[in-house]
Amino acid sequence: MIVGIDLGTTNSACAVFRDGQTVMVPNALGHVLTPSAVSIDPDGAVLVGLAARERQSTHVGSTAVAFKRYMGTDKIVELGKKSFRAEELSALVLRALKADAEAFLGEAVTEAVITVPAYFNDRQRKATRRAGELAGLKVERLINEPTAAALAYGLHQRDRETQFLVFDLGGGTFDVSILELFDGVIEVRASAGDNRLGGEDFNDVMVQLIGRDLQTQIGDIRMAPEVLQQRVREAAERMRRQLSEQGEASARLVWNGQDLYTTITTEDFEAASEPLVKRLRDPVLRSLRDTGIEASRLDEVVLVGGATRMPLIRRTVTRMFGRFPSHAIDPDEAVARGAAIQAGLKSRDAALKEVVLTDVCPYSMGIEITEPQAQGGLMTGIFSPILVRNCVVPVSREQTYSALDDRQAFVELNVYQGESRWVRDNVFLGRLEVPVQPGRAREIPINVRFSYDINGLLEVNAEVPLTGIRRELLVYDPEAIPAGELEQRRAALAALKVHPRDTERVRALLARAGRCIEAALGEERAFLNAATSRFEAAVETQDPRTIAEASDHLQEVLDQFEGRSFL
Amino acid sequence: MADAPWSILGIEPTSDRSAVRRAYAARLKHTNPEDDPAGFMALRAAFEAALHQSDRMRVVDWYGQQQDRVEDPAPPPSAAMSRTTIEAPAAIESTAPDVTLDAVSNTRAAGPEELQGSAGPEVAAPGPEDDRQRISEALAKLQRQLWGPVEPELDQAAAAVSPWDTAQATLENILADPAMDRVEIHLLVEGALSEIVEVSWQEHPELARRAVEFFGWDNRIWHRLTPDLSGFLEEEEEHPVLWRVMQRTHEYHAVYLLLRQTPDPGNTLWVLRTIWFGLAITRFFADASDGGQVLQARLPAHIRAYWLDGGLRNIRFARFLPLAIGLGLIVLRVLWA
Repeated sequence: MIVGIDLGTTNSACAVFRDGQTVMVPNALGHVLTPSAVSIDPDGAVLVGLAARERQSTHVGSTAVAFKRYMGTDKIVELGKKSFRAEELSALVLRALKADAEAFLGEAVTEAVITVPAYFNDRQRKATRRAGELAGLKVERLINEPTAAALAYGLHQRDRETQFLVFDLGGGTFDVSILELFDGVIEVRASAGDNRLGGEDFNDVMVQLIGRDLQTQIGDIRMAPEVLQQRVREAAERMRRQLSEQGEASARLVWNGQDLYTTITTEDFEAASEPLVKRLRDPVLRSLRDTGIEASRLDEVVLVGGATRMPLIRRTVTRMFGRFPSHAIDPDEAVARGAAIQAGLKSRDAALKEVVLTDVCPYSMGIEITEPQAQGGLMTGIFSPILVRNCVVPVSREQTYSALDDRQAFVELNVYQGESRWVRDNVFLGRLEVPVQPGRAREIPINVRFSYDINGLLEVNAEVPLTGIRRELLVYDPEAIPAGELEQRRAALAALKVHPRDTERVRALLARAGRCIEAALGEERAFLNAATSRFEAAVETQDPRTIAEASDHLQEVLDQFEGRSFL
Repeated sequence: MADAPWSILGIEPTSDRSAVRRAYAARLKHTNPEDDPAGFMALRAAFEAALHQSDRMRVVDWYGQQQDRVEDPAPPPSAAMSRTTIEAPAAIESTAPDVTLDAVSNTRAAGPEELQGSAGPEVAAPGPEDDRQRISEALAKLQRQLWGPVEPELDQAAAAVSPWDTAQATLENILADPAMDRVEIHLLVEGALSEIVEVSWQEHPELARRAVEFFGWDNRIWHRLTPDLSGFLEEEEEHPVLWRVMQRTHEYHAVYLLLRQTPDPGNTLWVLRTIWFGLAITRFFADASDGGQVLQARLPAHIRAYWLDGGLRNIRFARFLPLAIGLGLIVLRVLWA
């Protein structure tokens, strides 16, 4: 069975396609969302999910969150004594989801469809694929998140002819896609997005506001100790969620034995978020421009992603389109469900026989060229696109170029991806050298062919028809792992001890209690301590009923202390 | 070869868009992009070519209908064609000189007309429809102002002022209009301005510059709505001063990058950088070869305003700081020796 996995910045989820519908896979705690957080115990064991996220402020040096933002970069995260790359941390999350799915389905899971933001570039996609391999999953397909969400949405509407826009603001990335549905064909018309814009950025705004509010007590928040920063960050997330429901949010922080109170109003928060909100416009405009569809002709604007729960975002979208967006699907689950549908398509599920999905390549790709200027001299660094964005994939296009100077012995093709007229603003993908005949180099045409496959992976071929020379580019991949090393790294990850699934609930609760105790003072602290000890004693008895009762009690106490837990 | 797309789709050439789409959808079930990438690519190319041809056939049909109507004014337009036939001429009448906004957006949105009917119940739109009306009127006014009265000698007062002076206020009003928050209006304005700029950039470079700055046309590779401004951009980019900015080794390059950032006196790093480049910034603004103006014109308005209204004065003394430190070090070194 192929599972569909939404590997998110804040939360991840897993779903399967069964009996003609999608089913969310619950984790050991019974939740469908698993926080994308990894923490390492002093004894070297790995915690993933809610338990790890609760340790964010209590075990600062050994907990990692939001690592999806570093996918495809060389950044190394130190956890305790071990160091990880973003894809390895993602692999640990994927492994936890895989274990959940296996427990839920009662069979081994080895294949998956994983979602990536539409605007992930080639490098980030490859890193995601590697994360899957490291977790022991064969990645059948990488599918774009808004496309997945649209599949989940479109499957309910498949008898209608409609065109709609998916507005996907997740924890760390922002994507816009315009889709059209007719006769069982789900066609992505255009995708656009921002790789670094999401709920986390709104949390950062909140952190800055709290920092300004508490400046007299704690000084500059950017210089504050890591532990305090984490605590503020946690409070910020909680307060941002409060603001979704009321006009004002407040939090209490304990630092150096003193109580710090902070209150932020909706107006302050929204004024400070203005620059982020502005950045939501460009991708929307671009996708509409590219399709040539008028905003008023869209049948629906569908909101996806946890951050679209913010009233600020809903209001912005309403203003942008002059109408109210649709809430037809659950913004947290849509992407995972869509991935499961893609998995069903892949495994030829009978219920999906009449559905075909076509996707687009969301960015332009081409090479760097140099043009002679009218006034003499050369203008270098001009980007000449070969694959123009939003062409339907798979696609293959060819263009002809020639050398600049007759004396040239070879031509260097620098491959870039991006939308700017200048290559310096685009992403460098690779380099290719094509030999030409010196002496008459300018007359020799060079055909450059770009092929982009359905998984979003690029291949570049250059051919000189006169001499029959062919060159092929394996796109630059700084972290490409040799086959042997992949095995080795997978073994290294597999060797990490993981706590058994059945103790996960206990661990998550204890981690949360630990965090609350650190944040409490005086009598309250003693009270929480007592409740926690009682729970620990109950765990010692190993009697399921006693444990369940004690855990309910502790949960109640903690909810009273800091408000309901959230995902 | 001309009917190749139709034979791949397996239908007769037709001007009916939805018939083409139905044929494509039916073929797609067997030529899935998953299993048969090459077959899919051929099908897709055929589909796009067929859509294009059917659009052109529809235009021919439309003219045919127009012809019929001139000969025999009695028959009403068919239901399917009513939208395009009625709206385009109406727009021509309502908007002045030669650019017809509604017609522009209609042809641009090559979206399938048949979807119009199937659209669900209209949600009560928070933005009223007269936003569109107001903006269209403002754009028409802008054009009238740019190109002046039809017969200048009849309107001496209007002919005396430069058209740009009056048009500038209109343009700024349009760009600052709250209705621009709606993406639909934004695209409408962008489309209209792109047409205006495309024909008038030699006459009104200020307008072109402002529009290029606002919509970011200078840094895009390809767009349906990007005007063909290669002439304008080349002229702008080939100014000798801009050449210096383009050269990475020239100090103007670094200064320009620094100046593009929104001034942030609270940010220590930013302040230090402006002090470090202080002398160069002063030179940048006062470039003798009329380049100062050209450079300033390319900075976003609020940044330009910041520097001209006091920003330059603020670094009046501070800009000599790096020089002073350098001299001080030399003096110290000499004394040390």
